[in-house]
Amino acid sequence: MADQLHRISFVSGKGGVGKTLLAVNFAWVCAHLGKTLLVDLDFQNQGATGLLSSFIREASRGAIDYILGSEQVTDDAFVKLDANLSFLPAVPLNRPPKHSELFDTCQHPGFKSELACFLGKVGQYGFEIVVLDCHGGLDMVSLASHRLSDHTLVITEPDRVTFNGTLELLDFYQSAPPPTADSTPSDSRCLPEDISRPVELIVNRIPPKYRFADLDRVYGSVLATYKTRLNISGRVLAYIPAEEFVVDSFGEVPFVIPVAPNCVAAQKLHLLAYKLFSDWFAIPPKYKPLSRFASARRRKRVEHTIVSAESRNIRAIVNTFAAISCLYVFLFFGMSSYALLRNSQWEKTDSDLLLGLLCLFVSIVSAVYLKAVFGLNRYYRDKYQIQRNLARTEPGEVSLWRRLAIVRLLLLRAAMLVLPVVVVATLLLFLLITLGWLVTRYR
Amino acid sequence: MRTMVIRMEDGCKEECKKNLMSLSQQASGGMLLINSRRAPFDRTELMSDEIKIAQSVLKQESSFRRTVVGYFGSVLKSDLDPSIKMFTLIVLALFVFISFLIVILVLHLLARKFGIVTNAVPFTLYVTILAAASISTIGSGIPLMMRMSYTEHAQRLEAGFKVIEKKKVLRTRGTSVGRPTA
Repeated sequence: MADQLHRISFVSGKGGVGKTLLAVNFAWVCAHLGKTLLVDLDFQNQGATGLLSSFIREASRGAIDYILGSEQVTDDAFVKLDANLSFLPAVPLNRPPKHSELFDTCQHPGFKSELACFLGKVGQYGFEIVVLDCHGGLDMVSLASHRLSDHTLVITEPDRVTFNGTLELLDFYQSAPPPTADSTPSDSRCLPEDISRPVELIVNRIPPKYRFADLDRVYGSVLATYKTRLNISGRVLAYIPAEEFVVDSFGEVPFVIPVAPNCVAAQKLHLLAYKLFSDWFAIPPKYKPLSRFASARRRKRVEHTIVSAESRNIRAIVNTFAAISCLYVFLFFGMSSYALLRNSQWEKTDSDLLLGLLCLFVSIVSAVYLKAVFGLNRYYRDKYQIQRNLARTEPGEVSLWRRLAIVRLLLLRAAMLVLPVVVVATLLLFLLITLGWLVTRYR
Repeated sequence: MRTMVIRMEDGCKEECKKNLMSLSQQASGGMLLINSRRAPFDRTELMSDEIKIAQSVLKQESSFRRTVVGYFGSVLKSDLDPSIKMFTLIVLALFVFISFLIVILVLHLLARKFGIVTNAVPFTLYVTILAAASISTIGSGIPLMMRMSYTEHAQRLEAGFKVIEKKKVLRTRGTSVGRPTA
């Protein structure tokens, strides 16, 4: 069990990179390791507060009250999301502050010391992990979170716009003035500010046009230039692909992982938690999504996966199409030759060999086809699981559209289960008939 | 009459000056004034790097689409991804082999059709080799195309990142692009 409070900040150079989604779901994973608190420090957008608004009571206070206001942190200050997971919204729902007040909060020079004292107090309530979801951009909240966190996770995307923002943020961290005696709180319970806190990069929403090795090389060279100035790792901590499964469920439910447990993002977040906390926490052996990362091979496999299930399926379908096209070309060529030579110098062994070759071709194409079918089977299984889980979370009666979607996916799943049987049976039948014909002919 | 004033650094290359002069001549009824002044560093040098990167990306794109031969040449010279070179060589070799096989096969079929060759190598042997070569070509071609696509996108991303990094270098030196110092 950990004996100290572990603080993880989710920051970014610009908004809309999926920071809140990752922070909320990462907190959900962390709750399997220890008592976790998710704090929404995005006072401007209040993304996590909006996402988790169904859990928030009317009387709940916001982080703004406890960090900058005079409210005392008490046990009932936090919104209970799960047995081991609590949440502190950015602002109180019943008494939202004015926009000017929120803007002032983000640029408040004393925010660092206030947050340092707040995090110092949080540890007294038994929390072992604190996840801070910050606002995207350059502000005092982001800087304070970075200097008070054990790990600052900078979320970025593989495009120029986001990259520009990310470099701005890294420059901001690097050029911000170091703490002075005046800015350091005198209370010993407050956390010390540190300019050399580790910064890690997470590349989110990677389109399927990139390969792990290429991205690793490109980002590796970028990070190398910052290594001397910031305590930044030379490699990106996680590459997370753009996924249909995540898009399907995000916004409808706060936690994507329980709805789509097999998606790549879910695996990546579990791996992230394993990487950050395996030295500090005992990994629960019964919780398989985390415990299976004890295998280095598994870790490497998940780390290198940057292609979503739907992209993999598209590739499998393209390969099948190529294989079947190849078979048709061969059939056309073989049949044309047979028709051309049938009445002339056609040798008996030629037709038999041609038939044997056809059997080989059909077997190869069937194998490629089966691979695509199995991939689609997994895909529809996961999609069905997502729709079913979403239906369970829907308040009241399940909508007609959702019912139809579930029925459609059930039918597709059934088809994908029946298809391999049909393919294998047809192939065996074809091979047996051909073999029987050849045996009869030579007998 | 419209007047355009362009500031020029001391470190500006001769080519840059020539271009500006020709621009002034092209401006019908206008006058171009070139205001040269001392700069803290040669910014045009850095800007030219930026343009070079953008141009190299565009050049790669047009050469790839324009001619396959150009592509093979550039790939075989490049050391970026050894697997691309390997797959390209395999596909190239298989293409030559398949062309050769098709010619032989057609000749063989014609010879058999007209009874010139009766005791030749079985026709199916040719078909088998041709089919195997075709499958190998497709088998190598698909990963080659995928790797080429990945590399192309990674190069574009890298080029974009480099442009942004260059801009950062310009800014951290004390002046921003387009904003003259006092």
